[in-house]
Amino acid sequence: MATTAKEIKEFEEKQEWWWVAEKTRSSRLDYLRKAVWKKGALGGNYAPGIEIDLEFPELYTETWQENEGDPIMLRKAKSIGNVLENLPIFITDQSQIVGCVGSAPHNIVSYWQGASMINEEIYNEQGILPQPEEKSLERLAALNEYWGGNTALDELAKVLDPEDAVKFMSGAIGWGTPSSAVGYATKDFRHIGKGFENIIEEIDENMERTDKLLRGNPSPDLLPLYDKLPRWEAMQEVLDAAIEYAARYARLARIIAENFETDPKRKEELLRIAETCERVPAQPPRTLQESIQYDHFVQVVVRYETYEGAMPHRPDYLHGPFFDKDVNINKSITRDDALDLLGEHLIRTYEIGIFSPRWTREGLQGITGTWVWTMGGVNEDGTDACNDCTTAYMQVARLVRIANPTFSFRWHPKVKDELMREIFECIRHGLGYPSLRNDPILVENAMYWHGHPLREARQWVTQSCMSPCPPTKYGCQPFRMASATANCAKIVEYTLHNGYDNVVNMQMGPKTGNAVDFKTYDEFFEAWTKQMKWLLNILVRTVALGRAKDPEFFSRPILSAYYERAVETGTDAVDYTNGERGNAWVTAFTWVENADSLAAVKKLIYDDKKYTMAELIEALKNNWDGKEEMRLDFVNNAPKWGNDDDYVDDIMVQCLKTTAAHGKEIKCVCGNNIPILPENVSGNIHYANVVSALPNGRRLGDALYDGGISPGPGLDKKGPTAVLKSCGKIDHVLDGRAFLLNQRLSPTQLAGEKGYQLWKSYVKSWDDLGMDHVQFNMVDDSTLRAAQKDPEKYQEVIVRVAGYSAHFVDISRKTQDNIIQRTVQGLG
Amino acid sequence: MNSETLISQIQKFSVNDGPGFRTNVFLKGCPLHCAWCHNPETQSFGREIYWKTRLCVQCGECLEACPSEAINPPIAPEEAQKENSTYQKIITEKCDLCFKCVEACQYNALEIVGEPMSIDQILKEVEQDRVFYNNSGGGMTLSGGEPTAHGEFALKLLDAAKSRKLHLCLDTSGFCQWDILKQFVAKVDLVLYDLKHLDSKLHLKMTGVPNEPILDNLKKLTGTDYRIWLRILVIPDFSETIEYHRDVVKFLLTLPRKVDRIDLLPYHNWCEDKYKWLGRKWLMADYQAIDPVEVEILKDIYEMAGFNVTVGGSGFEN
Repeated sequence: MATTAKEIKEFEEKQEWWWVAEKTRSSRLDYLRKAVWKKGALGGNYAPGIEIDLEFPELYTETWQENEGDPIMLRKAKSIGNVLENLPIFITDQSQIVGCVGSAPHNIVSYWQGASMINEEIYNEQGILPQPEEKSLERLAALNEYWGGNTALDELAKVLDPEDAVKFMSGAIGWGTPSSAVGYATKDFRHIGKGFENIIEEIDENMERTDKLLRGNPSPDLLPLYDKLPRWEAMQEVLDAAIEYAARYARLARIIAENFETDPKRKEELLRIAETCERVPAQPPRTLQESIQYDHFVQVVVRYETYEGAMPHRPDYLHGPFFDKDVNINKSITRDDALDLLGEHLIRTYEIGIFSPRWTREGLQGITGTWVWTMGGVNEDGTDACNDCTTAYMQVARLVRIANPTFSFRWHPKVKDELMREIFECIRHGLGYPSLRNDPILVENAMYWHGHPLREARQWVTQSCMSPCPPTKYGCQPFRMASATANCAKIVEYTLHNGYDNVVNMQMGPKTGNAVDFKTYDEFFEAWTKQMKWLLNILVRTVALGRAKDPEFFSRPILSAYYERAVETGTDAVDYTNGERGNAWVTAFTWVENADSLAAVKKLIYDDKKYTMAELIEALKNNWDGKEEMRLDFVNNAPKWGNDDDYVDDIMVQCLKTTAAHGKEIKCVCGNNIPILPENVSGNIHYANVVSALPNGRRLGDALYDGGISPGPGLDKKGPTAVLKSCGKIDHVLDGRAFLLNQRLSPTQLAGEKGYQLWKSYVKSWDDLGMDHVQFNMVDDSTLRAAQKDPEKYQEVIVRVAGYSAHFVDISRKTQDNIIQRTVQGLG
Repeated sequence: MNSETLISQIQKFSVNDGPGFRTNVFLKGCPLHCAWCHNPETQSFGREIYWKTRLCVQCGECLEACPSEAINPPIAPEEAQKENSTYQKIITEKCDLCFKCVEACQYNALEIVGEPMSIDQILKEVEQDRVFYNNSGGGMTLSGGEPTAHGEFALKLLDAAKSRKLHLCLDTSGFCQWDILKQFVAKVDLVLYDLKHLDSKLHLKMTGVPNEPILDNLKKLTGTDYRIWLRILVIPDFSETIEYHRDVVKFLLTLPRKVDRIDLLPYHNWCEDKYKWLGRKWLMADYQAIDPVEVEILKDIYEMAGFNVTVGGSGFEN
């Protein structure tokens, strides 16, 4: 039954955005949205029906075994080729974009060449094995038997410093896998967009030229050239395989259209799919459908090579010209047709499913990877790059409503008001995205930290969630783990305990002295600095070694074909000697605990002398047991970050500047600087049982703070403006790579035109304070219900109506219920 | 003049008390005692103690600390938190406000209301949000309590704020001598002026004061060019009927000029806890909050008479 405009308006008034989306999207998008499988794990478990793909690893392993004598990249290319040419394919009903990671819609994949421990985990994972289970276990056992001890990570383990390896693998000080078996890479779309046949031709020319050189006058300069030839051959092999993969879809679409399909309209669509797949990725795209299909093939194919857990991308920039040509100039399709294509682009991306080990699943609730698409921004010449396609993506995101991919919007002063309103609508509808990124700040930041030339810096995309990286010939970063992820709360923890880790019970950091002997806060901070340097150093050198060895142990034929600099030089894309500028960073998890803990130590131990250091250390070792009063003193009576209080804010800035200085001393494999980037993903939950009691009052097991520079939950007692003011004291260019801030807003505040005006003023202030990131979460009924259950974490939620204020958590249940009722209805 | 006065709260990010993002400075003390008052802690000119029932674990530390036997012995927290509980932590009559109990409480369940602050201290905090004022036309709103009851201190505060080029609002009941009000309004950019009721007897009954001075001041005020946003309360069984608001419109049309904007503020009962925290009984506790949607019809009445009206008083509406 058709929904009337009146009914839709009612849903809007009640802010039931889910229903608004369901009632207003096209029937095609509605079908595709409901037909797609949810492949992210929730609460650590996969949804019933989700199965691990066994066809893929078997096809891969079969060819891998047959080509033992080949150089690794060629061997791998042939293995991937066998997969792309023989893995079952399918076309979803009503779909217009094809290609899937896995041989069936409900499959998730994994990479047996990567890590034995993940392979073993799959064997033991309940509920994801295809039936009959016994048969699957046999197949898995055969795979694991072959790969056991011979994966990329097994190889790496042999070359790592044993002490570093133990500390790194303890899980206490950081996370990540120092191999591109798990990682993510920027894509050079300007090069890729040439069409795969053209890249193959370029490689032909390079090989011919090299061949000629090798047959000329002998010279030691020629010797490295021999190794290039099989790499080029490997790149051609995978490009050919990708073209064949597309051709198989073209054939399948034609077979269905010509033999089975009875609906003439669908028949036409299938034939268009066939034509599209005959064109791309072999040749450059000409239409919006070809452009999106091309893009999707590029993303899918590379995920038969490795687990790419992020998707650095700028789709509005890439597809904008085709959108404009088809919809606005040639009018070959309607705007609604175009929205169907963009909507399906989101859905097909959401469909990609890759097995994650359990400890990563906890950190990535409900999603396969952090697929943050970058939107907006500027062109190389500094003009506004936002286009009609940017607007369309914002509109279709509200209709499709999926959690992955999400958008990150490159805000700059030239963005038009109409587009800002579209972005505001997405936030108001509770999508949680786009996050806002401050373009001028981040362009400057990219130039300052990594020396990107201005024009290159202006092209940046988010490499994963946060870090800007230009997708250019020399800007592309092939290997996320050239960076590292540090569990920074350990810095202050080790400062207090002379480098000893009381959770994993071993000496981790350097012995910086018994904290009881530190006479002044400055001495204490000096020890903190040493621990900070040690933590960054051990992580960086471990991943640097992994990075250097990656072409030898893992190898990336597809990514190499995607990189102009690798195609040009016949090297692996991950090879750090082929001209890469280098733009590594260290993700700083659990960072803010340092500022709050240091402030508490400074205030209560050194300034007020209310407690001795010995008392504090004793209390911390006992996890504050029997010292609840003292703990509450450290929570309530020491300044906390996020309240526009210089006492602790100065400490935060001091920590960042000290770390930034070290970031210019340590160098990545390309010789470039390594700034830190405070953010948490869901690491704040993951590390709850790993970080011991701290002077900010936390106990072992308490969740850590939830954002890179967001204040501790409930500790920002002065409201959102004070949070922004504190964060604004950080120099977002000089003090680090980027800084994640979560901001809660209520639907009541954002309702109507006044809501937009409020938000716009907020954004302007955010820009004036020079911040690089903010993302908005809605204080909806679930937040308030959570606040009822867990008041300690929601102390900052303030009820605001004219002339009245109260903290939500303080007031009685009855009144809270009343407020929830009103907030949900959005009528306050 | 005292160099300090009692502030019950400085609230940043206030978005419904004048234009833009504002910082509300609540001065403690008011000559009115409105039955519906939703900030009862601003009525008394002296310091008080909140006992936040939900945060109290009934540990008894406050009892130990009290030298005046002004604390009731603990009972089970769930008993104390019951809606109909008559249990009070502090025996107000015996309390001499030494605040030893507040110091003893580790759970923030006891809290001093009313912090003496100097003009510099107040403005230091207000100025922290200047960037937000600049981007939204916001600034400081002097509220209460009743600011005009704070005489010289409040005037000096406004002077000092003006010299720092802050946009200023005065939030007033209008209950004071015109000579005093005149001085206040001359120092601010916008007056938020409360209209509680047209009937003086009812006004007296419900607020403790008659309305003549208020209406008289409003008349004088509209004889000047000062910008006025009139805040009209919609209180159940008091000022909620269509007829009443038609009368208000008639009255407003007799004034020398139209006020610049009208904010209809529907009654809510979210302050019930605050009365309990102060050990007071609230007479209006049984009234349900008025749904802002119900006030839309009243809005029409004012709009038809040519007034610029909001429901809720957002600082981001025209």
